[in-house]
This record gives sequence, C-alpha cells and structure tokens, in this order.
Amino acid sequence: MLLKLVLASLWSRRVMAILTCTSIAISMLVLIGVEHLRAEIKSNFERTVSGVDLIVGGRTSGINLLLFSVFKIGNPSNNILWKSYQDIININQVAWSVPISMGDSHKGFSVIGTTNDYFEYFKYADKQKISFVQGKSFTRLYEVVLGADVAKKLGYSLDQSLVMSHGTAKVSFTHHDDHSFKVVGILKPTGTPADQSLYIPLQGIDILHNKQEIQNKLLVDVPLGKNYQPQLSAFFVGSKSKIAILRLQRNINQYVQEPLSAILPTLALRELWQIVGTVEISLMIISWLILATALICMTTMLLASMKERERELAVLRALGANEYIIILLIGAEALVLTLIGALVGYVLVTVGLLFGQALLEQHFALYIQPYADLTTVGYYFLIAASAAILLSFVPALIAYKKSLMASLNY
Amino acid sequence: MPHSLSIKNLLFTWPKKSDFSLEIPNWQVETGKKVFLYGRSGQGKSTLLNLISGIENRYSGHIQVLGQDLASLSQRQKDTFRANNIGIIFQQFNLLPYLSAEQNILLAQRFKSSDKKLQPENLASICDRLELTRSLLKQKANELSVGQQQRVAVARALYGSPRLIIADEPTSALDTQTREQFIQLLLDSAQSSTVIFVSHDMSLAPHFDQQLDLARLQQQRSDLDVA
Repeated sequence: MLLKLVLASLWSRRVMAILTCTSIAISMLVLIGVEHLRAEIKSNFERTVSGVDLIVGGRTSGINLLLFSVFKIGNPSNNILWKSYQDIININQVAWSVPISMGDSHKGFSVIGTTNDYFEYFKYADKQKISFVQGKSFTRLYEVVLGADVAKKLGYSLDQSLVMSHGTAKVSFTHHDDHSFKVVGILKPTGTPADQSLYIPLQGIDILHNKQEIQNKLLVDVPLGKNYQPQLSAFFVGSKSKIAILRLQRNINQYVQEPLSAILPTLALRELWQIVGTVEISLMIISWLILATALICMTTMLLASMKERERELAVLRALGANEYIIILLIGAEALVLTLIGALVGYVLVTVGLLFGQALLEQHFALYIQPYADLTTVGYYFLIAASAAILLSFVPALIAYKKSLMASLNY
Repeated sequence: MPHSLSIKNLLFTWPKKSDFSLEIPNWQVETGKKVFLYGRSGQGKSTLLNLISGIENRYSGHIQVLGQDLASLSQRQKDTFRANNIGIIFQQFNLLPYLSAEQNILLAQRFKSSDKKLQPENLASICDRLELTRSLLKQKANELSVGQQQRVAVARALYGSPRLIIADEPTSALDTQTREQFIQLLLDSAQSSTVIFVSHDMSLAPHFDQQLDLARLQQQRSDLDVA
C-alpha cells in the first residue's frame, strides 16, 4: 500500500521523476562503465606477457623496452648486435632465449622476425603458450605465421602469399617486392598484442634488408650465426632459477661491449600501470562526483516538491498517518528513484558494452567482457541506495516538521 | 459514555504569537449530537480542531475525546486513535489528486489498527447513499468536480463508522444549492456519529442540534455549563 502510494505520487510528478532517474542512470552508467573498463584494461594488460624472466634491449628505459617489445608501441632506440646476443645467452644462468627483430610491417601490422622458440617460450595470461589454430610454425625462409587478428581482419588463409613492406607505417613505398611469404600457420587468439603481428624467421628479416637469397631454403640449411647474423630489437630470456634472475639482470646491464638494458617484465608492467593508474584514479573521482551530483539533484527535487505536497502530507496526517510513515514515504521515494535509475544505468552499460565490444577490439585491441562484474555493480547499488536514504533525510525531516505542524486548515 | 468530547481549562498559546491564545474553560459535546461551531476566521477554529484530533499537542488543560484523555496517549497512539475513531473533512483539497476516488476512500485503512479494518461491503452502502457510482470511484481525484470531491471526502470520513466526525468549513467551496444538499447528506449519513461542524457561515446553523459561538465558548466561565 505504501509502495503503491509512493509510486502513484511519483507518477503524478513524472517529468521530474523521469529526469531525476535519468541523471542517476547516467551517473551509474559512467561509474560502472569506468570501473569495468579499468578492470578489463588492467587484466588485458597483465595478460600480455608471462613466463618471461627478463626482456633485454638496447640501453633505454624499462617502460620503452616493454612498450615496443611486448605492446608493439613505439620503436627500439638501438639494435643489438648479433655478437652481444650470443655473449649474453651463453651466460650460465640462461635457460632459453627468444630473439625478436622488428621494423617491418604488413598493411599496418608489425612484422616480427623471430625463431620457432617464440611459440615455445613466449607465454601470455597465466603462462599459456601461444598455440596454432591452423598449420604450424615456419620451417623455410619465405614462410609466415599470422596472429589471430591479422588473419581475421585481412581475411588471410593458409598458403596465401604476402608481401612485406619496410617501415611500420600503414602505407609504405618500399615493398620488398621480390620476397613474397607463404602463410603456413595461424595463431589462436590470445587477447594480447601478439594477435596483431606477423611472424617470419629471423633469417627472413635479414634477407629483406641485406641478402638476396632467392631460393626458399629450409631453415635448417641456413642456420643463424653463420651467414645470417641479423641485428635484434630485443630478446626474451628465461633464467635457470628464480634466484639467478637478478644476478643475470645485473650482468646484462653491466655488459661492456654494448650498452644493454635488462628488465623484469612484471616490474615494468607495474610501473607502466602506475602511470595509467593516475588517469584511472581521476576517472574514478569524476565518476563518484557525477553520482554525488545526481543524488543531490534528486534531493533538490524532493525538497522542491515539499511545498506543493504540504496538502498531501496534511491529508495523510489527518487520516492517521504518523510521522514515521511520512519519513518512510519520502525515503522510499528516494530509494525507488535511485534504484530505478541505477538499474537503467546498468542496463545501458551492458547494452553499450555489447555494442562497443567490437569497436574497442577493432580500434584499441582491447578485449573486454560485455558483462560488468555483478559484485561491483551490487556494491555500487548499495552505496547509491544508502546515500539516497541518507540524503532523503533532509526533505524527510522537513516533511516531518511540516507534518507535526500540519494544520487541518486546507 | 455521555460525552464524545470534554474539554476543561484548555489553554493553547501560539509559540510565535504570544499575544494570541485559545482558551476554553469548559466544553462538553454529548454523544450523537450534531454541533455547529461558529467562528470567524483567525479565531482559532482550525487550531481547536487540531487539538481535538490530536495533531497539535502543545496545550495545557484536559481534552477527552470519546472518553480517552489525549494527554495519556503517545503521538503514535494518538495517530492510530484518530485513524480508528475520527473522520475529518476539510474545507477543500481533501483528496490525494493522484489516487482514484476509491483509493482515497480506502487510504485511511492503512493507518488503522488491525481490528478496525473493514470489509469492502460497507463501502458499497456508503457510496450508494452518497451517489458515488462505480465509474466515478475509478476516476482520479483531480478529475472530479469540487462537489464530487467533497462527497468522496464525506465517504472517506464515514467509512469505518467513526464515532466522531470533524468538519472544517467543508462547504465553503460549494454554491448555496449544493451546500444545502451536502449538509443534509452529511448529517443523514452520520446518524450514529457525533459531528462537530465548524463554519463562519451562520446560514447553515439551523441544520444542527446545537449552535455554538467559539467566541462565547472562550469567554464563559467554567461554572457555566454549556452542553
């Protein structure tokens, strides 16, 4: 009965009620949306690299090294000589290494020269290997493996021939026309930047720039280190024991023949996230402020309605409604408005995410879940509802005072 | 119980206007009587009604309604007591505009103690007497004419057969013709109840068992028994 009364009363002031609900819905949309995106970006972020103990590159900052080697953002400042690479991986503590060479592209996607070890040792998420959906790794000079997104977006399939361009711009004028690469494998989607690259043998990179090997020889016949000593952009290192990692890092950083940087990926990720984190905090503060504004607007609306509702309250009092019922009535009204608004906001977020998912994936390579975490949403609902009830005490107490002095003279 | 209302040495002073006060030394209303209380505006009519119905509490003296001393009840008990026993009709704006006429009539049920809640059959007979049709009952209160609204207000005041009915200038918004009909309807429908009808319109006085002037009620000494 009380709820019916509240709903009927709200409906009689529906324009204001709908506007109030809308502002609460929008604030909830922002709050849930921002939090969801933050959580999703963070998890995307954290799954990019796993199982790698050190990343080594030319002397540069840890973040820069992480950005170009893992996120394929930016460029390496210096290349590493083949000899330096050999020296490092011959250190006792090194268990495995994966060299990468970057700087070429195919239709805007980066081309990475590497070895078969890449698919064996470079891991993502929770130490998951990058596996093949189709085909296998390269065994010959002119063979290429495609990241999941590359295959999907460019519509490539096995056995197709591709031409690589020099430089990383989308439109490049120096095509390595003589060299067409055959697709031999397509990788499973990982939800990381690894999906956005093409992988060719290191020897292939060398050919693109220096050598003119026409024959599509087997890789075992043209081993690295003899005729092929390509310069590297970076390499990933696995250590024999966890304890040795720091010592290995120090050794690499102190390597005298060439200035090198070795970083711990987890530390660099954390460092990078801290930069992003400032933005994240300001976004969260803004979201909360928007919610606060919406709730205060609701209180204002309730306060403004008090004047015109004096009669309504007088009638209720005359009929025997006590002051608690009056307070309850106003509180329930605030709660109904907030919960409807919050619910609409949640639905909007979900719909928005369902539609925005593809866009985010396409433009930012962000893989997000379309459904916001229900615990978080519930927590926001609870906070919004509690704040609404608290704030409703302002108009409710005014109504209470009015009802105490309610005159029957209407 | 001979008296529906008994007031002794009532003194009420407006908190913000110390120069004006309402003072009633002695007033009793017999059960079942229909009383016309005349008062000019600003004389404290509404305050008196607020005191009797237990909404206004800042007074000294004794107010006994239906044998119940109001001072002995808590505010909540007073509210429930009012819901159970007193029907109130205002000058105007009796109804919640966004509820239907029927919902308005039934509204008071929400605030009654459980043993006083009524079966809907009683509603039908009241509505019959007041010529409130089914279709009219389904209409929103703000879609009704003033006359219809006042009839709905009477129906609500009568529903549940309250022992005391208080009316505060309920006819002031009506024209002379409807006014007469309305008074007759109210008095006929409220046969067994005590009615206290407050107005500044002396022409309505002849309809009632007793006529009183609020000004004289305030002047008389407690040894004069006015009943």
